[in-house]
Amino acid sequence: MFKRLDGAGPLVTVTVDGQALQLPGGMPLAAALLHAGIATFHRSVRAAEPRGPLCLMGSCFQCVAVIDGVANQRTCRLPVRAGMAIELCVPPVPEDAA
Amino acid sequence: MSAKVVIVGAGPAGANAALALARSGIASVLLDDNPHAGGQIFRPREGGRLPLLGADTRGETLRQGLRHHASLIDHRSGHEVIAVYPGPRLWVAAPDGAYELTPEHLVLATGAVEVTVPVPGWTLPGVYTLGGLQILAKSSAIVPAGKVVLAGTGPLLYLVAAQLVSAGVAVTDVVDAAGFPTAGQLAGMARVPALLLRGIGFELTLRRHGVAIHRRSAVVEVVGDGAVREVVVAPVGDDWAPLPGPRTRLAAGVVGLSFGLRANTELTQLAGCDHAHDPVRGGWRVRREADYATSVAKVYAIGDGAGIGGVDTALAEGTILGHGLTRRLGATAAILDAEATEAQRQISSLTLFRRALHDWSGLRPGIFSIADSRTMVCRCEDVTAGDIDAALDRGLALPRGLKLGTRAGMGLCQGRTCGPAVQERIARHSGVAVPELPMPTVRVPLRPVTAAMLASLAPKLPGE
Repeated sequence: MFKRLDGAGPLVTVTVDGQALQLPGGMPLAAALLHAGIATFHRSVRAAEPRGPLCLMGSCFQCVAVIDGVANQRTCRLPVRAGMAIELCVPPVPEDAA
Repeated sequence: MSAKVVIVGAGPAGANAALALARSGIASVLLDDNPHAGGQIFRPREGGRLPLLGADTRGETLRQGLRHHASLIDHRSGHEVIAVYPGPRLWVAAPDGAYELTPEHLVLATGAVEVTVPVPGWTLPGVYTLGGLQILAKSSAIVPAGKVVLAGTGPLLYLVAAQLVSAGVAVTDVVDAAGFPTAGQLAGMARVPALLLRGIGFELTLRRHGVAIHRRSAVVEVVGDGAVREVVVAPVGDDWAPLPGPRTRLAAGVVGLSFGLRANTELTQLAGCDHAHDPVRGGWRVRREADYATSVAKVYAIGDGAGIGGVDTALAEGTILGHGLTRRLGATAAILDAEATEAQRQISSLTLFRRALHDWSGLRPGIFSIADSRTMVCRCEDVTAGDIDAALDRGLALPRGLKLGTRAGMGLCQGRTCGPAVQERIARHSGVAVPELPMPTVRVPLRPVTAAMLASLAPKLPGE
C-alpha cells in the first residue's frame, strides 16, 4: 500500500515478532514497516482495535512497539538498525472482544 | 549544568534565534528532539534524490548556519525536554541518559501540533494526518501506492495534495470543509503575494491532474475492516456541521485527515506562563509582551509554539528574539538592528495574511459533531465520544475530574491528539465557549521515561 519513490538503499535484517525481515537501514522504522506492507502496529488498550501510525512526527504515540525489549518506543523516531528486535504487540483479539 | 541561554526547538524560530545570538557573540544550548535541525517544515530527506514540489532550501541554509557557528551554538539533537520546573529548571531526556539544565534565559520554540477531528472509522490503519503523509514522502520518499483521498482544511491540504499528485500518487479527491475563498479573503491573502501565488499554484496543479475538489464538504465516515476501504463524504454548513442530503462514497486505501495546526503549549504551560485562546493563531497560546517575554520572568516563546503564524513568521520572530535578548544581555546588537526592523515589517504583512487565512480555513466547531457516540475521541485510552458525554452528564469537575473519570488525555500521547476534541465536547455539553473553559492540563514527564532515567535526575543528598 506504500511505494518508494527512489531506489532502495542498503537493506539490513531485523526481526518482527521473531520473523526475519529486510528493511532499509537508517529509515525511520514506521516508514520502513509501512513500506513493507505492515500498517497495523498494535491493538488498542480496551477495544482491541487494530491501530497504526497517525502523525509520524512523534506526537501521537499510535506507532509504538516494543523495540529490543523496551516498551512504548515511537517507531516513527527510531532509525532501522541491523539486528533490531521488533515486537508489534498485535495479540489475537480476545473472544469476548471480537 | 549551567548554560546562559537555552533554546528548546531547532525549527525555524529556535534555530534562527540561536543564529541571531551567535552573530552577536552569544552562546546558547539548542535542544531538539529530532535527528536534524529545521523542525517539521524543513525536515531533510534521508538520502533521497527526488525533491518534492515546492521544496524549500531555507532549511539547508539554517543547518549550514548552525554548523558554521558550532563554537557558540551547542545543538543537541535527539534531546527531549520532559519537564520544566520554576527557576526555570529543565529535565532533558537524551539518548545516553537524562540531565538537568538551569538556564538564565529560556526560549521556548516548540512548534505546532496538527489538529485532528474524530470521525467514525478514523482509527483504522491507513488513516494518517496530512502532515504525516507529507513526512513519509518528504523524508523517506515513501508514498501511498493506491488510491488516496485527502481531507480536512487549510493550506497543508492543498500543499500535500499537490506534492503527492506531482510525485505520481493517485490522489483522486480533495475534501475541504472550507469553501472557495471569498474576494475579501483573497485580498487579505494578497498582503503576502508570494504565499497567495503559491496557493494558486497548488490549486492549478490539482486541476491539471484532474483531482476532484469537494469544497464545503467533510469525510463523515471512514469505512473498512482492519484497513481503509472507502470514505463517505457529505456537504457541511456554515459552521461545518454535516448537512442532510446525498452522501458520496469514494474508494481509497489511504486517507489523509487533519484540520490545520495549533501551538504546542506543553512547555509554556509547565513553565507556568499565562495563556489565552486566540482562534486566529490556532487556539490556546501563551501570552507575550512585544519582546516575546511571557508572564514568567526570563522565559520567552517564539514561532508556531507561541501561536500559529507559519514559517515566515517563525523565522522573523527568531531574529527579533535574538536581537532583543542580545540587548538584554548587555551585548551590542548593532549587527542585527536592520534585520530586526525588516523582520518586524514582515510580521505586519504576515499578520494580515494570517487573519484572512483563518477567515477562510480556521476550524469551525460544527466539524466536531461528525463524531457519533461510538467514535473514539482519545485513541490512547480508547475513550469514545459517548464515554465523555456520559461523564459530563455525571457532572465531573473540569478539566481534572473528566480526565481522571474517563482517562481521556491520560494515555501515552498525554492528550496532544484528543485535546481540542475533548474541549469542544465540553463546550457543546456545557454551553460554555472554549475560550472560557479551563485549558487542558499538562503533567510531567511529557514522554515515557525509564525508571533509570528518573533516578539519574534525583537530587543528590548531602555528602553523596
